[in-house]
Amino acid sequence: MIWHLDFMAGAAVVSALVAAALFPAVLALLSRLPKLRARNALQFLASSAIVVALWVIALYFFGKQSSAAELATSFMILASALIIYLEIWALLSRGYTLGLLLTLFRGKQPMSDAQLAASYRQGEGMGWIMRHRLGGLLAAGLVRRQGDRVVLTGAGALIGIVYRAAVATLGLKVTG
Amino acid sequence: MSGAFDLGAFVLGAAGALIWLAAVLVVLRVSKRSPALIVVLSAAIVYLAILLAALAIFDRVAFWPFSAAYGFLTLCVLMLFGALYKSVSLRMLGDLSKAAGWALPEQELLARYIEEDSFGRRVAILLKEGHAERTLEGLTLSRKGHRIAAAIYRLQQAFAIRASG
Repeated sequence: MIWHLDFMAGAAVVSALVAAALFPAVLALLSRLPKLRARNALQFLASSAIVVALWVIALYFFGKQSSAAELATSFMILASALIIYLEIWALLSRGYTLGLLLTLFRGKQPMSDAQLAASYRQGEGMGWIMRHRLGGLLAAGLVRRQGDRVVLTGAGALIGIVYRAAVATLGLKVTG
Repeated sequence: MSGAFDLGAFVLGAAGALIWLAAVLVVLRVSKRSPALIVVLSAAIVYLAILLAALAIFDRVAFWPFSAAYGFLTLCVLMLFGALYKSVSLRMLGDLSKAAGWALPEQELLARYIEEDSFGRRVAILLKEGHAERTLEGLTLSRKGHRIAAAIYRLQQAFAIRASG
């Protein structure tokens, strides 16, 4: 105890900390499996499932004496760690600005804005991000194609309206 | 750890998260600084402030339940905030929901929202943060930008990520 701060950690808390620490290693291993190559979301999901399973097993063997409060603390520690990893992973695999930075890095020479846009994501160009995100929205059933137009579905409109309300509530001037 | 002792720490953590959220809603409206910086920095400041206040008031503070409750709740909000602030997909849905008949030509979405607006703004961020410089030959990485890009590239290699975007 430092001052009045109680750092005492039971088996449940230690299990969550160990499981969280194992996550990067599990993800690095899974990302090298041929079947999961280039499937970033699936890699993350599978790694999370393995780490959560290890955590549950650890609780079964070592956390039998843990109180409900300790189990809740343990859960929140692991969930928080997974959210942090998810944010970092999303940035690494889906980061738009980061993609521009890496395009300049790989290019190894100065580029005009047009060259940067054309070289984006190893030559796929800026149109890629639009096709990729639009493909995701189509697959999720949030938009549909109608000729050369993109039309919101009911669910897409609901999310769009909630999104605009949330942006207004937060007072964000620029997004996306 | 006693149950009541942990419950008190949970309540303290949850109250801290609510105070942080209220502070964020106010500061985002009055400050001109980066919204991302505001939400992250204020989360750390409120955490330390609540912890120090609790230590001054109570005999004991359970670190793990307090930190877990505060961290979990703030991270849930931060995740939502990140999506609202940076997601291209959500912005597309938001913009479409404003359009007549909830529809826009596909090419207009591509040109207006992605290539011109988002692309230009991201290039401006790289220049403003000193990650890139505009020279006579065009855009080039600064020393700082090169260092960051090299670190990110190595991290991507470690996790077999082929490209970001």
